[in-house]
Amino acid sequence: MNTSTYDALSTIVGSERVSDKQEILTEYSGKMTQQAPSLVVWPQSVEDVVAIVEYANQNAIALIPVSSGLPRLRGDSAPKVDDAVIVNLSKMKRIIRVDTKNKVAMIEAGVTYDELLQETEKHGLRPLMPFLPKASKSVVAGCLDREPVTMPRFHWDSSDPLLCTETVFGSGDLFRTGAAAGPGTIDEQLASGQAQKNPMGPSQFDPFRILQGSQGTMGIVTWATVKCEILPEVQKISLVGSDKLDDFIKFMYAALKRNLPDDLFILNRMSLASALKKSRKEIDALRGELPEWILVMSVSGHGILASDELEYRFAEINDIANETGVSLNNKVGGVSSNDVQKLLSCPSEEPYWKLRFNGGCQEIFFLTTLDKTPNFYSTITKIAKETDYPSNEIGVYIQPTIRGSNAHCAFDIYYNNEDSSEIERAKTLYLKGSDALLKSGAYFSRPYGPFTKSVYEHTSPDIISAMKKVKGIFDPNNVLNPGSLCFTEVSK
Amino acid sequence: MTLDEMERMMDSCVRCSKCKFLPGIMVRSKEFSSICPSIDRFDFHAYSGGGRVIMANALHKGRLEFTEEMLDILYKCTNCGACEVVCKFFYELEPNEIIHELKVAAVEAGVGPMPNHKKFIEQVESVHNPYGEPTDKRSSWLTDDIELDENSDTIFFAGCTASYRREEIASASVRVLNAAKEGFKMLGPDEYCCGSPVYRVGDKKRALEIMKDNVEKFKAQGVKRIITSCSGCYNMLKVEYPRFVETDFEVVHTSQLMESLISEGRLKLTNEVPLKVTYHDPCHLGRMAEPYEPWEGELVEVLTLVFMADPPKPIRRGANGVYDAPRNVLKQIPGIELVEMERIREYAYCCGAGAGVKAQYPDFALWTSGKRIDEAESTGASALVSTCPFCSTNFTDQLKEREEPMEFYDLTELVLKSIGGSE
Amino acid sequence: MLDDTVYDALKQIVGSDNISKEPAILDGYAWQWCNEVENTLKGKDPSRFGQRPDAVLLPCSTEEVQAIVELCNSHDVKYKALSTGQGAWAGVTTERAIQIDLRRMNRILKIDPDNMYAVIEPYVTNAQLQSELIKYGLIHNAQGGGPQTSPLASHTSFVGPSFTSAHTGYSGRNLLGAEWIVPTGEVLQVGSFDHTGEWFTGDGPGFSLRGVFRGAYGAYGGLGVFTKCAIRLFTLPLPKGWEWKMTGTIPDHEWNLPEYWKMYVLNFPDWEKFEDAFYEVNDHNVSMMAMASSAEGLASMFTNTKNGALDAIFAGLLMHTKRYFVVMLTAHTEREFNYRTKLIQAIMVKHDGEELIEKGIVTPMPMHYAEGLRNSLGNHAFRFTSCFQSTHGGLDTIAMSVKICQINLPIKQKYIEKRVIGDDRGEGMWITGYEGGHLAHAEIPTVYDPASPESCRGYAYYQDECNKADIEQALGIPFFIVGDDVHDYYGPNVMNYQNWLRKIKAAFDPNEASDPGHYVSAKK
Repeated sequence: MNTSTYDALSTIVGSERVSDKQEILTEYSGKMTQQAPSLVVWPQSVEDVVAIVEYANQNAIALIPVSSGLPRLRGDSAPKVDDAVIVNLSKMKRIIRVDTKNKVAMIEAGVTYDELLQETEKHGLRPLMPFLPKASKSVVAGCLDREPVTMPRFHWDSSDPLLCTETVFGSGDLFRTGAAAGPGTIDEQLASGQAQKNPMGPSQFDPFRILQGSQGTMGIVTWATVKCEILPEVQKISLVGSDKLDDFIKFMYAALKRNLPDDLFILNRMSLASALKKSRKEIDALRGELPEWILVMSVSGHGILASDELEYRFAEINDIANETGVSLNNKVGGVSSNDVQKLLSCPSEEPYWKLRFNGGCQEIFFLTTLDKTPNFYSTITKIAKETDYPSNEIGVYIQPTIRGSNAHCAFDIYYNNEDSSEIERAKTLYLKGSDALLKSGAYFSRPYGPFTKSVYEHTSPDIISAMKKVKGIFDPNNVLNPGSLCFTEVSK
Repeated sequence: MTLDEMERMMDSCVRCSKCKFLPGIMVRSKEFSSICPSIDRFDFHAYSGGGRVIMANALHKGRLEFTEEMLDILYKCTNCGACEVVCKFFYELEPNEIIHELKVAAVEAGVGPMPNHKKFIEQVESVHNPYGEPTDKRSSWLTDDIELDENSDTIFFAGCTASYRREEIASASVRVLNAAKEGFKMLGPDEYCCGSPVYRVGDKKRALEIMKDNVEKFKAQGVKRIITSCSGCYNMLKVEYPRFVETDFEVVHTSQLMESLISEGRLKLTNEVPLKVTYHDPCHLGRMAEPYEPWEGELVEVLTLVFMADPPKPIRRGANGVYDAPRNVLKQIPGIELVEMERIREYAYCCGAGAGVKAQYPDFALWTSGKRIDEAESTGASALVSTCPFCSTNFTDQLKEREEPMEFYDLTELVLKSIGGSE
Repeated sequence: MLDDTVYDALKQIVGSDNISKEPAILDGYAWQWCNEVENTLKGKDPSRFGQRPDAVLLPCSTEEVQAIVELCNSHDVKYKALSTGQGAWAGVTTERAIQIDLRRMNRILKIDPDNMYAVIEPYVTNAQLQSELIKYGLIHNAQGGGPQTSPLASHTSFVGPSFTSAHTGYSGRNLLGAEWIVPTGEVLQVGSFDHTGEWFTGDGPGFSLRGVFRGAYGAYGGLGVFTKCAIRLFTLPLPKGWEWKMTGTIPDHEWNLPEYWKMYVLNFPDWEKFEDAFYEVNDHNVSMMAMASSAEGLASMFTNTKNGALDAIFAGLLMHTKRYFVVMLTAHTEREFNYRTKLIQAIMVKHDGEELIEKGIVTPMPMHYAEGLRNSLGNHAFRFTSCFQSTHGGLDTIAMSVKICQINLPIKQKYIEKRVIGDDRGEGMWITGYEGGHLAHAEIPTVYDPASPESCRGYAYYQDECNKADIEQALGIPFFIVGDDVHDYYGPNVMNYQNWLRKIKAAFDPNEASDPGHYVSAKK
């Protein structure tokens, strides 16, 4: 890396916020590529970010925006080119505003789930969260990743809970997306009763949808507004156990259709045990007690008739359970509702739950519909067998999204990250498994890691061409996370 | 009203496309959601009620001149009135009236009506029926066993179609009247065309002459009441005539008469007619059969730009057509099971024949009747029933094309069966 | 004018029955509601006749549409597609332009009742789709344009509020995948269909192309053609075996109102209590409908004729209504109904409200519930003069919606005094909440006389002033901020978004074939 880049960035953010130290750089290396960046820079403001991006454009420097901390499992923030600079927004930690009436929080990119949970609780709100994000996970990053949330009834559009953003496009242009764009400054908008809720627009395009899922290839988001919900006064958690995944499907569809529960998702015993216990020994012991599949559901009541609401919701769900042959319990195996409550609406305790079993985790996840998930599970276990991977060590998480119109299906492949043969086996299962899943109808809407290439080989060339056109608009010089997604080259 | 007087209405068209469909709340399936055969068949917006309103407006404003294709578009409309019923749910427009007025304008401009219309108008003028059939054969269907009362002030007006094409309807009608001992006489060869085919294609001048001549004839014959089984004639005599000429007679459709005869006990429906039927509302007996009530008053601006008529102006929406009488008759025939189509009453889908369409565009007329029969079949009925010889002709023509056709009956035929008079 | 070779080439694509250059046909597409407003603002006569297309085509398939688009690109012809086409934005805006009428593409391709989405072609209407969905106990967001308008148009290309938005949301957020013919003619099956043959999502792989082709508002026909789309569905609480029965006769029909359906008109003493109550009711997401209007709006909503509405107004409805909103509760079970009823009543009491139906002030008929579902309830506003349109349209919070109504009042009163728009005391409004009250928008329905040039002009200038107020008072972007001139005027107040739109247009429509009139052109 050119020392002038170091100097230039130091001028922008201050020398204490730029690093080329090896031990720091390796934190951002790809697990599978082992390619490290050359610098890390920690901006403190949007002005910093604008200056950094402008500099990158003028000097053909690759930038990779990051706002979460370790561990990094997916490789989206690992450099794919030489001499990349990590733009780490994790120190931008202001919670700018929490608005109870409008159920929204405005947060900078570095705010984590835990920080947001604590602040929103004071205002009688709760954010929409993915399942057990890592402690260092940035909320904004989670939203930009289109990470599925555990409460499908509040998930109205695939983009939720992301609302408006302040962004610096790859071109260096500052932009606010959604209603935040104006007319008016943010303060003027607040004075007219707005709260930067409408994520759409401005006008006849949705730049926020271009940022989401782009893995940092279109813009760097410095703040976002995120949807929150009223914190319920009362809540009840139920568990359902079964050795057959199919047993849950009818119940889930019926409950989702009626928008009755809050949290609603499925874990297999491996995932639940890993989430609840810290050591491999404990995880093994617990999963021995659990049925193969566990459905987790919460129901709540809030506001003026909180108890009535909870009572009505639960009674309706109970009727549905009876009609669909499902039995709602407070306990399944050795796990109680109270145990599970601790997993909801909070980030993972250390160590990150996906690393507890074996130290390493390779994720496979895709979108499908709920009814197809059993078949996909069969597919991955078949491939696991072919690769000599014990299928009962695959963690499974199935999350209905957009109120049940589709479902996020995730398979976690645990491996010993100090054993090269296990790393290799995990990689093989990841690639072969992903391929088999893709070919049998899994939709990798958020492709990460080496399999990304296969996803785009499977994608219509016209779609890729369109994506490249968009890239050419918002990041014409390809400074942002080059080599990611399908942007191996850019057309202008 | 002339097109000029209609300009305000034409300027108010929202081009909302409601005129192509049933009102939203009436739609029960996608298949039977449309209401305009013309747009259904030809798809360009100009073929809809609203599309023709725009066409009329464009002509009136000098943007268009009459062309062959424009006339084609104009005359591929049966003036069934469905567009107007739906439009009036929300707006103060009269698309059907405007379309008719455009036809009048076409004739006055010397470009309309269409060649086959001109031909049948000539035939109406020469032999008093559009079919060109001999005048003296008009009553050939009338057999000697039918009792007539030459002293009656009631006539049975068979109409041209029943007289020359659907004699079974005329015959059944008079037999029913005889069975109920309802006295009537006939004009015989002096029964001339009511003028409907002439009027509907826009030849207003000739239609007026026919109306005047007929009214004078009725007067001369002392006619106080006219019974007819033809919906087209019913509509002309009851609804259109009073708009243009002074009339002094009552007009009754056979369906209405049979309903009262049954309730008075003068028709005894004794025989079973085991049939599952569905009923088609003829446009001219249904939504078009609401009389034009003359209105004189003023429009008062009650709120800025919002006017109320003072006294209140009757709005012809098609609500007061003859819908219940035929159904009541059917329901009282033992063995009949009546199942309804989706598009009924004021929202009935036209049979496709009216306003000269059958004469000039027979394929289109047949296409439309096919659509309607598809709907009839979808009810599971084995027979379609209606109360108009012209609908009857178009339906029976279509049924001939089908491999396993449902049956078709005029209401009078079923009543005749039930009273035991059809042997 | 189109040269014969181009016309003949187009004829080859669709067949001679499905193309026309007959002026009588073309004028059917030149005429559009609100052309009188656009014409006025362009300094022309307020006529509803806009630009006459050079030809109209009726393709029957994606392949035909693609071929037409490609031909236009290679022969410097502009095109604009429409389906049911209600409004100025459906028509062409330049010379040497053709109209692609998608009427023949009218199939419902799929209804997936478990995964709650339907896949439709452009000319499926709201009423048609709803009538088929009801068999599954489902409903979709049928936009306020009315039951005869196209949900594909709303979801891919236009706006998206409806009377059931409290339950069914906003069209732009209900879109899953779409088949998008980009302006140069490539066919993109955006989202999961490209990989899986199923339409359950419109995003990825990676970012979402949904972000390119529509925003808060769609491209209004200016960025290619949509030939299919998948839209989300919602539950419609109906008893088992219930069938839709509409009897009686026009205009007063009778409907078999399902059990556990009930309407409320909750009337509050002032804006503050209204706002608080509206937030609370919306947050609980218990109603099929939660929307606010004026006294005049209420009068027209629950009557079936102009005279009926006027009678209601003159009978003193204005005295009884302060700040109200209509709630249409629906419920799947008695238990659900009881809870929801109790909740609504508790919220009403909490905010010092009263219920106008119970008090006999208004009496909705069962058919009005049905009209709410089918979205012809809003069409009642046409009864006054056969014409209205809405100003504003900003979408963000309930609080902003209230502000729009408050700020609009003196502006509207000014034009009422000029007697160019209908007199609703300036109070006319329509606010609806979405997604548990997370979003809301406000528009101001305004009656004007389409047959009066003075009134058309008056409405146009009033709309213009409302747009200016939205800038000055930071009230979001109104509905009709489209087209080069208007974007250039509005954009500098909104981060110069128009520059990005132009880049998108330049990248995707290098030949400027897709009519830019209600979008942007790239060349400015």
